[in-house]
Amino acid sequence: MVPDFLTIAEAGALIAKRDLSPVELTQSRLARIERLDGQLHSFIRVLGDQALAAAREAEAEIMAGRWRGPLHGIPIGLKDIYETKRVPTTGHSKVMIDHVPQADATSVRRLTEAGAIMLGKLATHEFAFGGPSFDLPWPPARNPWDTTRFTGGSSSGTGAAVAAGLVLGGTGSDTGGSIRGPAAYCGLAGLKPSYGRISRAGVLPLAFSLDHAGPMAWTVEDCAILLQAMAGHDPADPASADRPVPDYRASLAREAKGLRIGLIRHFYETDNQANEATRQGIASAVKVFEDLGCSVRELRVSPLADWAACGIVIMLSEAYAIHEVTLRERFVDYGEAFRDRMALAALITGADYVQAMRLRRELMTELAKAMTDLDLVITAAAPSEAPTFDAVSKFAIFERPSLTMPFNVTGSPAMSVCCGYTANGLPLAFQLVGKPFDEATVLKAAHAYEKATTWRSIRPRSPLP
Amino acid sequence: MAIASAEPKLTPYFAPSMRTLYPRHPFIGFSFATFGFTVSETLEDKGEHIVKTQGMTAAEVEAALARAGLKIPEREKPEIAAAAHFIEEMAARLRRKRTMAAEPAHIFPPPGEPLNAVIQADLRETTRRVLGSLTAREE
Repeated sequence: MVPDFLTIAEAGALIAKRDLSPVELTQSRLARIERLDGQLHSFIRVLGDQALAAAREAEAEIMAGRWRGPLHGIPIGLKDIYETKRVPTTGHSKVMIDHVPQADATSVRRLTEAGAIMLGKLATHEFAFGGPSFDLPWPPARNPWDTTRFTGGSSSGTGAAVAAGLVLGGTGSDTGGSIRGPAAYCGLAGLKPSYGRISRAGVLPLAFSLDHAGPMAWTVEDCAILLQAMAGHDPADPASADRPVPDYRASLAREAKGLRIGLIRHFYETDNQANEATRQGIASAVKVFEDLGCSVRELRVSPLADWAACGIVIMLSEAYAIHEVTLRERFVDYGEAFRDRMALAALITGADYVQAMRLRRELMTELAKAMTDLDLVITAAAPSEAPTFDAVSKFAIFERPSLTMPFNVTGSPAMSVCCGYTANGLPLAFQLVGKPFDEATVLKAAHAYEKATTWRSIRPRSPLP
Repeated sequence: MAIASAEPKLTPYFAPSMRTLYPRHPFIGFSFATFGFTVSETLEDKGEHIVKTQGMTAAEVEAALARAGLKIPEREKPEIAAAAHFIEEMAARLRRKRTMAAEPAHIFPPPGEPLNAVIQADLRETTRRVLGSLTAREE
């Protein structure tokens, strides 16, 4: 009997020892999808036959002594903006409902080469932007901790599917917080790596200069395993960085002692006021880091609204440039959330975009200088636990400045880490941010935090609330 | 005119006090007649004086969307117009005093390299200044 919940590291170790069959593991996840996804709607396409065939192939390879690594035989899910060869990739939109790519996205190919089993395509906000929406070809994903609640977006299906144990990990994308938001609301670890670290080739774009592909999983260690497979230079992505890829899992073994952390408290205490539970969660996390031998000091940077305004004007402008023609021709084929938010982009001038890019340069320099004598920054990942669906308005993303957008503006690696639960059992999170291309330090610190706390032992109840 | 301010003043996109300026529309909560910032507003931010442009009326928003070629359902037009202030508020935040030569991050490089160069340049300058201020004895 395969347990309901396994991490990638646990399952990978069992598979390597031939104590767990990739076929049985895949079958167990398919059965779980069958049992639970009618309530969660995390999948928009389950690739059962294809996944089982790949699992059989993985099993045969492993039995023949050709174990590829910790992802070999591990079932994962792909946000439906990651292109998959001969499998529809829709962006959760009627507009691309018939889109069948002829090749895998680079990161999908790399995950496949590492031996991962693609279990299916996961729900997203429409084109990673418009949602949660109830007027699209598929319903929005629901939060396994409370199905009346929002998963966060836009990697909503990945957040729900990982938290519910339908997959052991998955891919997300993050243009303004779309990995870290769902990770926070669903209680996962979610890493937005540095801009340029993971290829965006074959990932449907939202905003060219802000888009990041990245991993989501139950633990930091699992994110490190996924990142290892996904990262690396790709000539097919013009923004891909030709930088060495370190051994991320090895970096987890190093002590966090001595790390210098800056706490950006004003982001969540005044600029976008977090609720008491979130503040307490972060205060407790700071104490844990201090107990681990890290030094923590407060850091002040520009107001959050500056970072968010900069990011949103860039995001809307770039996204509008991508969708402009289709918006003119097929406006009502988009969901209302996407099209009405995007209509606002038509009000942005060329000068606005250039001013945003000028501010971006200033803000990037500001954070780099502020972190000169720091290794990491800690701040909130979300202002509260997951809200109910009816509390999320169509223009919610404009109402309060995003806590995650600053690090899309700078391209810094940033990770959402669960830091406890509310009294009614909903996950809380903080955000850990590193220097460009120093994902290893982010992962090391986040892993040390996870090991020092007990939050990873708590999973959503079954049957789902 | 620059307004000196030691601490940044924290202002949401749309300050709550501004909401009170606009009577609520019976259907969507905002008045179109007074929609937007009909007078120039200022924000103090990092010691700079940010000037907002004249706000758009609902009719102007509708005209801009029509000019963009967007065929927006009638029901959604007032909602979009009512949300246009978010864009105006954000755009206002982007306009601030800069030198003419302040470049945009228009060619986005892999983060790290150019910024490191900036930091290194600053460190070099700081080191030069400190060393330059020392007396011969301190040297």
